[in-house]
Amino acid sequence: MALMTSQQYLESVKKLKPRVYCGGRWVESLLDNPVTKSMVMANAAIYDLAQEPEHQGVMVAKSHLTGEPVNRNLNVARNIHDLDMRQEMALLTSQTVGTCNYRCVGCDALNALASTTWEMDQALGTKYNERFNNWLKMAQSKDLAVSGAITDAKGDRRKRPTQQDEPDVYLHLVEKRDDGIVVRGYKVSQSGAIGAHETLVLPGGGLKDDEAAFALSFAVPNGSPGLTYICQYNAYSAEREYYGEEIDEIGNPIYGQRETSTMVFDNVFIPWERVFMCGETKYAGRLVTRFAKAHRMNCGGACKVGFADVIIGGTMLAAEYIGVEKVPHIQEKIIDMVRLSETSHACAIAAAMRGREEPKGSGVYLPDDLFGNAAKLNIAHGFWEIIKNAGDIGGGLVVTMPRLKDLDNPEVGPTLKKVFGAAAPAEKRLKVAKFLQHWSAGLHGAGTWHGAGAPQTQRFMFQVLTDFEKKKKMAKKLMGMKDDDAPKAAAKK
Amino acid sequence: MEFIEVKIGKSGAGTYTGLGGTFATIVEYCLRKKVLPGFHKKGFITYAELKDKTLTLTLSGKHTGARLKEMMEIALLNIGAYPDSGSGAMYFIDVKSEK
Repeated sequence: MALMTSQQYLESVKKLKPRVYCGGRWVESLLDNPVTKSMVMANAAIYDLAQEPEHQGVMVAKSHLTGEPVNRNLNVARNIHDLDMRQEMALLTSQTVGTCNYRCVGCDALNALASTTWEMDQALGTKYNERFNNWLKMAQSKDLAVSGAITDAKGDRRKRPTQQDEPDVYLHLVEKRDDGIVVRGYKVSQSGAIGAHETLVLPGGGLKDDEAAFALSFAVPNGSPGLTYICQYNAYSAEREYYGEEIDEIGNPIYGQRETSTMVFDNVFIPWERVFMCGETKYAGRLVTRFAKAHRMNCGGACKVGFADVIIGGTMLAAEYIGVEKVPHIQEKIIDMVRLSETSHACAIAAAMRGREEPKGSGVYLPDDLFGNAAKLNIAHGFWEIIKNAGDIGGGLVVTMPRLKDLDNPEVGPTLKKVFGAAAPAEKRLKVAKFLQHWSAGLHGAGTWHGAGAPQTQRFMFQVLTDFEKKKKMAKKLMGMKDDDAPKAAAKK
Repeated sequence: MEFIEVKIGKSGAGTYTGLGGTFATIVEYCLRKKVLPGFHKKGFITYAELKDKTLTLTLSGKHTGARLKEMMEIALLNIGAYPDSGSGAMYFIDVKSEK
């Protein structure tokens, strides 16, 4: 089976029995709980995309390991075209589901691992790349949904991992045995592991020599005993539970908000064949940095452009439904939304086009770091502007609206239809208002800000990647300033 | 890859493949942690023994052969092993119902 259908994926999910806690109770079946179901349905839709002929150029790639067609979510980028299609996949999946492609983090994690395990094997004589390729071949052949877990709980930020009062705030090694390793600790803000077959776990950041216990990377099947998922829970989760099957009331009816969980590893056994890093602290930072440069182009940049597309579409409908679509300041605000969005798309495309093999000889292509960070940082700020304009044009109704089904209530419905009827019937106005509420008053603002790393991490990368001295020299040359020490010399006098 | 054959009674109920270490994983959970993957309730495994390359399991309650096969498929799927038509199993899991 090279490419799984959505139905096959859903059948496989029925047999997945991860230990999931959501909103006060244990989830017996991912498809019976309305909150976890939304996440699973989003994954199913991504499987469908790869079956559609018009999307196969984006969604399907050729495995460099077997030559077989594979879902791009499981592909290692081997050239610029692969990188470009990868960022286009992020765009397409967001346009399609209006929430996370829950296989996205796994995709970027496996690209970082393909690069870094190769490098480790070259330098250290380890067998990580061979193991990783065996795992990848298996995942590709079964078209598994693979998620990624990166962020440690981190505890007291003033302390290093070894100094924490609670050692589990960083995922760490407990025991190294002949047949594998035992790990424990927490990974937080993890998107979609509950409905994935496997999760790739990476270290949360760079590590020092004495932090070998935290330099861990492995693939874990998500039903492994000892692994517990504590789902996020918020007003949108409660709303989904309240409405049950009446999902038409919800802003993004089928696919929902973005569902994450805290992953608790309680002495989980990982056989060696699934371990891709164990103690090599020198490579932990490289692995995470490579993941980040891929993820900032994709999740940080292109994905949010897909969100922006559907927000812009909803906003235009809202304007049309009250007859203001030709008003100049409305058009100007919508153009601003497009400008902010397409600028990030351009950065993502540039990151792909300026991508390169890393490290040389590995055959793995990663995006340009500066443009990827620019894509993410630009949309982190731009997204607030986009949802602000959506709330602006959508009007107060976006947050003051009654329920949609109140329109059918025999006592208040006829009145509500008169109240909210405009250039379009009240039903359409309320439906689009609810859609814009989902975006402008939902979880995506802060989610976009922090996803793929909070903006401070991109600012740091700008600092590292930008040659400021070169820019100063350019300015001096233009000004005709020849003496580099002139300001200091003047100060001495 | 590892090939694992599940036996119920004297007959084979299916072969599964997983990456190297899959058998070690199910042994770890069933023998040391007394937990059948995919089934979180305590006490579900009433007996577990590893002899050579065979893991013998007894599950609490009364289950038909078909149900035992279904449960073992869930257990193996949840640790990354999938049904396979191949032969030449390297490891065996012998499972039976308590009653």
